[in-house]
Amino acid sequence: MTIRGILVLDASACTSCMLCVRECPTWCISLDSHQEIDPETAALARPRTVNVLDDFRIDFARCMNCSICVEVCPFDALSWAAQCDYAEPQRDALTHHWS
Amino acid sequence: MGLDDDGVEVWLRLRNAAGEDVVLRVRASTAIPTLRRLLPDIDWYEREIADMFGVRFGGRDAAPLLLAAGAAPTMRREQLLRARQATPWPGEKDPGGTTPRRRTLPPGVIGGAQ
Repeated sequence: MTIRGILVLDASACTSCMLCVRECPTWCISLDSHQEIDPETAALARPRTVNVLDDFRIDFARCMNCSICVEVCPFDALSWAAQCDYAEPQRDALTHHWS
Repeated sequence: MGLDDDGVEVWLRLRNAAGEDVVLRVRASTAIPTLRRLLPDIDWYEREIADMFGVRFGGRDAAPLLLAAGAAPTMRREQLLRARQATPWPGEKDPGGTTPRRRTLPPGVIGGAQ
């Protein structure tokens, strides 16, 4: 039996590719990111640019648990936790952040 | 089914205490007679169908009860959601926070994908 609680993000696996943001039917996912030179390649002839995640937000007041974001993520950064930690005393606290 | 038929068909399923089951189907291209004088409880269903699908029932007040003022019948999918046109889409940014050269929009927004 699969327990499906609340969405969680593994920020170390997220590349800020924006696929979940764009596929979400209720527009409840948003993220901020910027680009940096990958330090391992900085000294090379072709320094590589990587996306760095600043803030990843899911508004659980709008999330309808459709799992489209989990299915579309190419890096398996989104998953369902076992606990249903949805209840919050304030409306703003329903937006969860990761960075 | 003529060219003026909007494609809405109303089904009425009746079942009595003996378990007998009958389904009546009628195209809604013209007004459908109301059954609320025969079955009073059907009034709420007729009201919901009238508001959500734009079906006209003869012999009843056509003022919307469930629908917001000025909104088109929702289930006909003829009107884009007004909130969607006004809300900025979080997916408009490109990865890395750069501004895309070509503006892309999601389905359900004017100018976006269909």
